[in-house]
Amino acid sequence: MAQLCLGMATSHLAHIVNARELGDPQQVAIFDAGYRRLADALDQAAPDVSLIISAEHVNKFFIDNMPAFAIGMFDAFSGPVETRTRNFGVPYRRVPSDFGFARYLIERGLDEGVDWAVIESWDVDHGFMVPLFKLDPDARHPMVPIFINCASPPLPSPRRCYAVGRWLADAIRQWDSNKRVAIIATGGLSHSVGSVQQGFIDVDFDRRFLDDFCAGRGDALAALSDTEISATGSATGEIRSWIVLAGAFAGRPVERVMYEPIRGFDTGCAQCLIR
Amino acid sequence: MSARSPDQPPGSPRYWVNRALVDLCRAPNARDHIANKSDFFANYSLSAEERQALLAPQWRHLLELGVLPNLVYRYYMLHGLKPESFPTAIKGAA
Repeated sequence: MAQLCLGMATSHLAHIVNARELGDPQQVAIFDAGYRRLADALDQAAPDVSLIISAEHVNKFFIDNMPAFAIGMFDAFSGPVETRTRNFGVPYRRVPSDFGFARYLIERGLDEGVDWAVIESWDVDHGFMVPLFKLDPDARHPMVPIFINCASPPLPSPRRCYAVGRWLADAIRQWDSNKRVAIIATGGLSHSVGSVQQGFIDVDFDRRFLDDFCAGRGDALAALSDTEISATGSATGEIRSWIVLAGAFAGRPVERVMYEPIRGFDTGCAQCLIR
Repeated sequence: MSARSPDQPPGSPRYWVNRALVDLCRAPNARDHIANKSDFFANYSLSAEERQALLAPQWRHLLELGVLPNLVYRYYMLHGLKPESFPTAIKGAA
């Protein structure tokens, strides 16, 4: 049976590669150091395949067809899509994936009530490619990308996200494979893009969320309401990827790697590791 | 939401204004279209209120019309405006 060998979560904002000068240098250095710790953990764990879970920023999906959850099913994907229209600071590149693993999760989910939408071609955006640029710049680790709608309400509830994480853990454990699997969650914490709150970081919310996340208080994470989350920022909903991760690793110790509310980046930046 | 006539194509109240903006934002030559916004938006089924908010542009009113915040910000940036000026612009009169 397959084994869930490593989990990690990180904010995914692009400032860390293309607008570093906007952040306080000391905080940016802490964010960089966190990324190096996560990258080392990924190399040391050497998973055979990883799931990378992120929001998407109206580059692939739109309100004419907006799934709650979707999985990329292919041998490789590419990105970031933003490089099509501007210099983005992250090279456009190809990332290996795992068709068989993705297909297994989709088929099992469709049989067990997790109705994944399926993506067979995907130029992913910064939500995936910025963390991958920092964690695996040579694309040595196969990645299966998972999308969560965090951009266009109605959004999947935190309770549903936590349940999907629990389901993922069970599905991975029951996969008839000797592969070792990691899960990387990206996004958050509190921030706004394009709303009247832009620039606001809700440090109190971020610290409460991280306390619950690191203490494994899944009930508290699942009980968060969309109203409570969206009050802290129009894009804070990206913490749904963290909640999926929390569900997948319920009961496992979590290490808080860093938290810095970086004003110039307009984002509460955080990273955690689960071994 | 702005008034719509019954002969307009189907879609949710916020659909067409978002459709118009996402098409512009995803266009490889999006910056060129900014210079001719009225031409670009001419073929979209928009209310007068939506069209005016897009052309002015009225940043905050676009949010009130149901445009996704991410698209409002991308539209703002396509105008060559500085990101640090956005919080002031979005808090301006609707």
